[in-house]
Amino acid sequence: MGMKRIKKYLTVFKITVVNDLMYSRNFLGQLLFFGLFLFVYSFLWRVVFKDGQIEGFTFVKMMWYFMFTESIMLAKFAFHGEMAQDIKTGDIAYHLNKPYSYLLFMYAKYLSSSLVRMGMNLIFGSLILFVTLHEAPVTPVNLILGVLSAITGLTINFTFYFLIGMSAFWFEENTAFSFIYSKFLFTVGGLFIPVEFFPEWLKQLSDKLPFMYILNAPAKVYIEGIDEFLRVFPIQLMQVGIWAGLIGILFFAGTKKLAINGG
Amino acid sequence: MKKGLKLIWRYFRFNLSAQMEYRANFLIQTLGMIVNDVFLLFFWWILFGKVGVINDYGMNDMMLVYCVVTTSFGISQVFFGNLFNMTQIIISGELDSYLLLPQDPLSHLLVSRISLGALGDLVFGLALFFFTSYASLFNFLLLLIVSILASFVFTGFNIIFQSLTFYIGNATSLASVIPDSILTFSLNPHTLFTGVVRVILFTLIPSMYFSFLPVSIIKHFDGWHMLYLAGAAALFMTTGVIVFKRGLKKYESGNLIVKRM
Repeated sequence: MGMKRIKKYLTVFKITVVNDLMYSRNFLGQLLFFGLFLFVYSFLWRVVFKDGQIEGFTFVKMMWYFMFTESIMLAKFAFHGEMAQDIKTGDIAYHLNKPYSYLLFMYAKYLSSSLVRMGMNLIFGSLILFVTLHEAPVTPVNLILGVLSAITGLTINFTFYFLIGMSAFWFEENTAFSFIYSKFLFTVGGLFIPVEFFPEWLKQLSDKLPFMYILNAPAKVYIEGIDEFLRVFPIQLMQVGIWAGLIGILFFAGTKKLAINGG
Repeated sequence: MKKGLKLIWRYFRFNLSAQMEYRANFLIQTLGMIVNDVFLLFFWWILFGKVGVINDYGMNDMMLVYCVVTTSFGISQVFFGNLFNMTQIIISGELDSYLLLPQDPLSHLLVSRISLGALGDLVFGLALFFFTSYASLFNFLLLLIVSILASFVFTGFNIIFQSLTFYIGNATSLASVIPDSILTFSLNPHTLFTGVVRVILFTLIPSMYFSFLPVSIIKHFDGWHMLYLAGAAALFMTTGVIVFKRGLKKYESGNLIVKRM
């Protein structure tokens, strides 16, 4: 792909970032909710970890882990509902005849919006934890590697959102898919509780599924650093490759099914 | 009183039959919430599996907490389904259509919508009760009574915050965080919270009346605790009604034409 072709997606990225930052007041409710969660769960984890560590986690590590997974979870820009609606109404045709790839256009929009939110969540969450705990088990290197892993996790999530949106080509009602997907992230994705706490059989099952590479893996990289990064990052890239390939093929098949009425 | 109950019942039947028209949507939303609640218990199942007991709470106790909270929340949202939309209705001027009718505007506004997700919560809470070690006919009756009282605490408290829009303008952010904060605290073992936070949970964020007190009444029945809960329910509902009525005097009508189906 030439530089010129990449440039248009970078422009989409930039416009979305500026737009989101302009209306950053809209995130106030979400940040309040995030702060509340950190506050309530600090009571729980303090009691659970009062005797030391469990599966390599201490109270402080657990709080930073939770802050990171929740930062990603609340950052995901949910475009799949709108996309499904565009497919059902036929409005998607307005995108398909433009001189850009719809898939890459949506990815640029999704990633920029999600990164703005994730950045805000991380700054806000880290501030709260610094003030209340006075310690952080992370180094600047951990932060960079964690964010890199989180971006890859968000990309895996994008492929699933795109799949859910695309399901409108074949199914009239697809809200159940997004509901089930969010429940998978919540449980085997390791949002509230690390996968390491699961019984052995469930841990092995989660390892084989893509969901823990969206939340659990980046948060572990964030608190453990380079060794964990070297272990999970190649798996994350492989997941991106598999799912991106699949949505590419399915989207091509889906657009063939699209019937456009004039008028 | 009799007139009010009749209105609630008639609207409940009407709302339910209106929603049943779209059967697939009805089932997805109701069953979806039941599945959602089951997934919430997953967290505690993993955690108790790892650590056994947390401050005197085990899995069985946590299941009872979920019974009470989901049943109370379910009752509040099934019968007073417009509770979380009050701020929006006041801002948009839609309140006018309720003011023109002979019924009391607050109760009429609250009952004119049903939340299908909450119906799932209600079914989940009542069914889960029979999976706890507290399941008996007497305790089931207690569950119904304490859940109704707790739902009044929740409803009254939310009316207060939703009505703040009359006084301070758009209070959407504040009003949307309130139910979340009550629920988040309520769905944790109450023994975690001590000191100032405990005092807050009895006053500013009344989670203790929404989960701890009803749960303790089912575990060890105490008439005084029941009276205490009934008193809290009456106090929060009365305060909510007063705050709404006083706020209503400040309400400036819009020129919006609304068609209520």
